[in-house]
Amino acid sequence: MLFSNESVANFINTYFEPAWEMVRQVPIFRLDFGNNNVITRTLHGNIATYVCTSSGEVLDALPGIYAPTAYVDSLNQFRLLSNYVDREGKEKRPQRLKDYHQKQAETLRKNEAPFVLVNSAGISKAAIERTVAVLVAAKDAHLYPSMDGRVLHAKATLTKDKLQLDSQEELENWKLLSEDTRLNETIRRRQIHALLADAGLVQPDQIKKRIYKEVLHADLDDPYLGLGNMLFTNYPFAKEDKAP
Amino acid sequence: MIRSVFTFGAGILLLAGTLAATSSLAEDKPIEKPAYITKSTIEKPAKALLAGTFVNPKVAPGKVRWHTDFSIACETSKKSGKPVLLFQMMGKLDDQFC
Repeated sequence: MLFSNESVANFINTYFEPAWEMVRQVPIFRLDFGNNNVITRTLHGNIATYVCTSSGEVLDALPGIYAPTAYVDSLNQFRLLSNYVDREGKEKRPQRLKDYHQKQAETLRKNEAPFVLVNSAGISKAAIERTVAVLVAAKDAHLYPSMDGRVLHAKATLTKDKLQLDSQEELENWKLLSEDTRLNETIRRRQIHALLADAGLVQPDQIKKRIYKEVLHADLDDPYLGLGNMLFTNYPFAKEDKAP
Repeated sequence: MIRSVFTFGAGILLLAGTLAATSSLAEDKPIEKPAYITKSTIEKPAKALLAGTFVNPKVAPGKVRWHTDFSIACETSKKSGKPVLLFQMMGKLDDQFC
C-alpha cells in the first residue's frame, strides 16, 4: 500500500498535517467457487488526494493512484504550491491560485509538460519557513536544486530497471501502476486544473462529487457507480433482482 | 382350481378397489398447476443467511500519522504552519479490502 512505503510516509509526516476520510463504502466483490475457494476484490476503489490551507480551502488535488516516487514528487509540488499562492499576501491567494490552474490546464491541453514549482531559496536556505516557491517551465527545473541537494527533475520517472521485480505478477502490477500514473498526470490532471480554476477557493466537500464523477468516473450519487448498464443490460433477472 | 379362482377373484377385487379410489380422488380435487417460483424467492433465504457474514478485517493504515479527521488536521495546521493533506477514498483506509 502507498502509505506503507517509508519514503511516502516520511514525506507526509514531515511536511503535512494529514487526514483521511471515506466518501462512501467501497463495493466488494466475492466470488465463491463452492469448493472452499473464495476470491474477494474491491471495485472502483478510486481515491483523491487534496492539499488544503489551514482554513480547509483546496489548493490542488491528485486524482487516482500513483507510483510512490511520482506521488512524493507531486506532494512536493503541493508543499511548494501552499507557499507560492501566499507569496503576495493572503488577499492575493484566490487570483494566484486561479492563474496557476489556468496556466497548467492550458499547458496540458497543448500536450506540453506542465510548469513546475521550485524552491528558489537555494540549498542552504531550504527550510520550510524559508521556502520561496517560484513557477518555472519544466525545461528549466533542472537549474534548481532540490531540498536534499540533488538536482530536481520536473517529474521523476519510474523505470523498470530501478525496481526489483521478482515475478510476472509484480511486473504486470508495475505496468498497470505506471499507466495509471501517466493517465493521472496528463488527462486527469488537466481536468482537475480546469475544474479548480473554475471553482475558485472551495472546501473539499464542495468539489468532491464533481471530481469523482467528472474525473474519476465514479458518480457517488449513482448506487451502482456507473456500472448499471454493464450489470443489467441483457440480464434476464434484472427486474426480479431490483424488486423489494 | 379353487386356489386359481381365489387368486383371480382377489385380483378383480383389488382392481375394482383401485378404480374406485382413483375415481373418488378425481371427483374431490382437480389437479392444480404449481405456481411459478421466482428466482428472488429462491435466493431470498440464502441472501438473508449470508447478509452480514462478511467481515472486513482491520489493518494498520500505513505508516502515516493520520489526524482523526479533517477539522483536527486544519486546527493543527494553524499552529504548525504546514498545509493539510486530505486523502479521500471509497471504503476505509484501515480495512483490509478498501
